[in-house]
Amino acid sequence: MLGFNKTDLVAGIGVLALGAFVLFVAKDYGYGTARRMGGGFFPINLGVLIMLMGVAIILIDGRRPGGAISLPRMALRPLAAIGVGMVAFSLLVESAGLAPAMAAVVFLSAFAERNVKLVRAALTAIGMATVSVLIFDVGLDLQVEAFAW
Amino acid sequence: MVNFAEFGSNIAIGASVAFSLEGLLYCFLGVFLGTFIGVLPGVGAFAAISVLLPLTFSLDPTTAIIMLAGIYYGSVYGGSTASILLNLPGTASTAVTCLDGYPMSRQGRAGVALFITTIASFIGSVVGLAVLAGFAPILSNFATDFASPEYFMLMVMGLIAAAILSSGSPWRAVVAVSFGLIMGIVGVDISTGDYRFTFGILELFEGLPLVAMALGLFGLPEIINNVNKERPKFNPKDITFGSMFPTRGEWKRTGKAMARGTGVGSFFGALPGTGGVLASFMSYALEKRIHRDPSIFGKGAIEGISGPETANNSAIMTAFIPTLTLGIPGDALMALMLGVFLIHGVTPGPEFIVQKPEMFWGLVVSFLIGNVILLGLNVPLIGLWVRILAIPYSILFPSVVGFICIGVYAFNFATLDIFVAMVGGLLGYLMLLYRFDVAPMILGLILGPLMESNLKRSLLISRGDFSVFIDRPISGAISYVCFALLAYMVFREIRGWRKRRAEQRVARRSEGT
Repeated sequence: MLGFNKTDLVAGIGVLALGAFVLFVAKDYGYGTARRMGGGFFPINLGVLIMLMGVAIILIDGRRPGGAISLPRMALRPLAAIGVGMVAFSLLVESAGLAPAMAAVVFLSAFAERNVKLVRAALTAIGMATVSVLIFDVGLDLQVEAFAW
Repeated sequence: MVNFAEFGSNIAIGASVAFSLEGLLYCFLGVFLGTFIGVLPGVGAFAAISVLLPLTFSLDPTTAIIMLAGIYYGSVYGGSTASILLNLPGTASTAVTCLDGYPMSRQGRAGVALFITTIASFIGSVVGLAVLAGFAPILSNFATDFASPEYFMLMVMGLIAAAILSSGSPWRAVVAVSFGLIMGIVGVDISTGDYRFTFGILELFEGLPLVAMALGLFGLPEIINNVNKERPKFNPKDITFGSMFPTRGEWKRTGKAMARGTGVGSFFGALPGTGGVLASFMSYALEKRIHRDPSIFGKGAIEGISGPETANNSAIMTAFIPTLTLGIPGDALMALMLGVFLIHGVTPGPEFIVQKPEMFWGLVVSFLIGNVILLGLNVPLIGLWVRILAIPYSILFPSVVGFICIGVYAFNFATLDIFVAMVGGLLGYLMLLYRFDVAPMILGLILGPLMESNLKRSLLISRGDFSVFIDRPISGAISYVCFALLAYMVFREIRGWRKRRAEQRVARRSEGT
């Protein structure tokens, strides 16, 4: 695309956006002077540096011969499965207890695999729930409840 | 230089701490648990320490660190086992071991590889420990002259070093470092009292949770990336006790590689900002460069394991030097160790060895004990670890996600931390896809607040004059090193560019004919 490596182009644009965001937030913190640094001194300088690097990534990495011409493929299924699993854990651990939370995250994360075997996932979930209760609740006496209802 | 009588009495103090029942018990526990968790692929030393950290809260500081250190070097050893048998590194610093260790196991010589790793780890640790014991007290004396400018420049140097080692281009590394620094200052600004980058979220007022971020960044992307890919399988019965011994020729080549490894490892470990990862890569590069026949590397060359594994373990030991004598962590793991000290009310720094000799020397002796235990434990237990690795990945990886969740949650009982870990996982995955290295970012995250406060103090005292960093002798020396490193970075980039241009020209020419 226009002779730029796509991966680097996208990465560079992302970096520019990141730098801009940092500057946008940090501008309200007050730059101050070198002698008396304000809250924004450090982040603003870093933000500028980040944006400069973004330009470098686009112009230098992007034009590098032999670079990555196509965009990388994202593994959406694992992202979704693990994400949902971790959300489930965070919602359940205090309301329902460690055992259900653990079982949920393990079971749901297993779906990251394309050919997930349901029975195996369920057994692993139950197993992990048991093991973690034994280790963390009984063994370490951590302040978590196995079942909190 | 080294006063032997004094050294002897220090060791005696240390031994009395390390050989206590508590000291021995928790050392053993740490080493055993650490190796176990380290063996699990994708779960590295960081995860092992984070998950087992709650265990140490009720212990006194010395015992806590004894156990955590045991977990640390235990898990690094476990990580090598995973690298050799499954080509899935347990820890970043054992990634290099995959390069020749895995081919060796495919050739049926896994036993030899594992055995050599055990020996190499032990030798590396002992030498690194000797450097720690000898050098740390000297550096402490020297470091009492250090002030804000020196600390600031040291951190800059560490970050530049991390950027150079990183796998992507230099600008990507700088982005990673800079963004890490910004994540580090999230929370309340001590000098002004303002909240920065918190976006009104209460739990962020004290900063981003390091454990959550690091576990998410290191632990999750690998799982996300690998879960649907081809995975190697092996048969545990193939690894017998007898098959573990290397041939005589192998012993000789290995020995020299190990000796070089200790040097490389001890040096790079002691630099702030670098640790086992750099040490093992440097050792591999060195071995390959000086070998008579470099083509054997990547196909099961024993020097490809013995050098890096030794370097790795030496670096682990010497990484304690800047952490304990300067209070500057060498990498994320050391930062966690530092955090544990602080939780227990102990502040590592130049005064540490003098004020708390029983703690420092207790740790030194305990590290020795721990590595002996590791040696003795792992030769017979190799079969056990191997059997663990035979567990199907479809059972392992969801369990690892579960462990990460509880490890993150158990740190502060904040469900927000789980979300931070998720964000970290997504960020780490994107970085992986778009060729950004994560390690410099973590270092930036840890050093952020420290760097800013040292910069502020330096400029306050010098009244805004930036030349303070160059005028002061020590700080100036470090600045020159930084400039040299930056110049090297740019030079390397230009040279690579030129080479690729030349390659393209050759390719085009041959196409034309």
